[in-house]
Amino acid sequence: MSTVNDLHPKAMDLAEEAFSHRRKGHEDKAKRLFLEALELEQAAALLLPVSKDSEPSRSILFRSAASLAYNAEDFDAAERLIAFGLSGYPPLEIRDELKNLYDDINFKHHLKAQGITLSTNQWLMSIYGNATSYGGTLVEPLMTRVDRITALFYRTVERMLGVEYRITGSSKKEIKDAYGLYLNAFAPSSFAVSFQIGAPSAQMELIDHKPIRQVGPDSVVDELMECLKLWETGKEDVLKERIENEIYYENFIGIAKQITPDGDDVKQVGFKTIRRGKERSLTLRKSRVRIREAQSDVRQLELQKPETLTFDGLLKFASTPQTKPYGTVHIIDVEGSHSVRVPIGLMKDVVQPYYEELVSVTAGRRGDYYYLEDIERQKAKN
Amino acid sequence: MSVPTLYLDKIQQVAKVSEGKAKKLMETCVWCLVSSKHANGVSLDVIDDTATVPYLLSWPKQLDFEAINRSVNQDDATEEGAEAIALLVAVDRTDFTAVERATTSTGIDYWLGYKDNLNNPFKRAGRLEISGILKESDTNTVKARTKTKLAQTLPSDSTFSVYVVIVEFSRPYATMVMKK
Repeated sequence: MSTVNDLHPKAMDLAEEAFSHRRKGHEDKAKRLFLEALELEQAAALLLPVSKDSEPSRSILFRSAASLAYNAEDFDAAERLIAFGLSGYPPLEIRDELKNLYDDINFKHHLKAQGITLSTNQWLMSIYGNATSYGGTLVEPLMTRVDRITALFYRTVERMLGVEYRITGSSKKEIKDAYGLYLNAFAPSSFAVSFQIGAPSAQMELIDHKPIRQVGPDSVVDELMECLKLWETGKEDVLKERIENEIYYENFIGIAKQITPDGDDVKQVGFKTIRRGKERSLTLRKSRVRIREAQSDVRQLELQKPETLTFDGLLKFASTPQTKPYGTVHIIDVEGSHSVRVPIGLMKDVVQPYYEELVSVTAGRRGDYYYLEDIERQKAKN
Repeated sequence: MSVPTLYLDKIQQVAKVSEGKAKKLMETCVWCLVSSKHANGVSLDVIDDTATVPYLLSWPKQLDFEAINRSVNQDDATEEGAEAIALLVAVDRTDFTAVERATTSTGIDYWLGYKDNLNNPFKRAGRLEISGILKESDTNTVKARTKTKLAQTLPSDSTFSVYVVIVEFSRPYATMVMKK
């Protein structure tokens, strides 16, 4: 009789082969291999009885089998395997991963967005979490993301047009006219809004009397999706090479962090476009909490560990010099006023939206100054 | 005291992977090292939060480099090459004795476990996150990659210990960070 140790490594070998074929674009072959791997992994998982002694292997194997079913796009099987995994005694984090996978499957259904047909100039953003319910959402998580996506869209347009990074003010009227961004009626399910990009009314040839590249609105959205994908998958070095300009890169990372899920209220943020009749979707799962934790863990590698502090207070005074790499903000709390330096690429789109609001700012100390690492609106205390 | 050696042809002794997979990991790793102009027996520093420990890297003398050049997928080579070193380093520098794999929605993840857990392979297991850099640059550093990997792992109240190993091939060196 086969043992877990016979079946599981074989399943993993097939899964590796399947992912390799998927990377090469051999989708049919990949799916066949995922199904073969699924059969072995499911058999391995089912060998373990429902008992505390079988853990964590039982739940890890069911999570693995459910992931294989998900990759083979057999979502019904994936749901059943998740239920098997949850029916035992999974450790907390495997239970969370099984639930996350269930959310992913649900989100796939949401992204199909029943009743919504996207045209090529439309772009869907969907959020999902405790802040959303069918047809409703808390205003703040949605509107913050709509606001940041709009900022990121125009920054991407300007970068692709070859326009110098704008430190203050909003995009030029010609750009806003040529790349009009509209928000369509909210759609229910997870909670989705679609952006619509107006067709350029006239081709722009000059900005600030300098010739510019011609950039189609669809290619702006495609670029944005590609950059978000690189960031989500941890390919920040490739992203940096793609964006080239340091301030645009800094700005992109700063805004992306604001769009990304923030824990339970928003667990997932998804995007979808249609190109040549094919759906392209992207789900952001990287959470801000994890990004902050990583910043602290990586300090193990630093000889001189910088001091990091969190300031909770009112954001006041924002100075944006035109010629220096950092702006300055003040955080006012019961102890007084704390000055924090902010990279120039984050001042306008990431920090200024919080002006005169209660914020939580994480800052690292270098020399005599504190430098911004993260900012978020203070959460209401229960 | 003699410098310990990591034998790239002994991956199967620690990782429960097929012979083919172990060979591929070894060959890809050798390709990364040779492309970075290193010879058999090159020294590799492993840096963790307590010390910098030197190792030697060894591979069989009779490898067919022409065949390796043809078969290596350069896009994936750095990651796979890093996996080969990380699996050996992780088992050598921890109490774990085996490497397991499991599927996630986006790929395969590695776990550290024990050889004797035959029917409960993930018992007392730890997670292993790996990444590779062919040549560090201003825009692509080991430190930044470590941060990215840590951000992809789970929150700090995790049931399992998490080890992040990043391998840089041009020097070469590796860092090993345990998520607290």
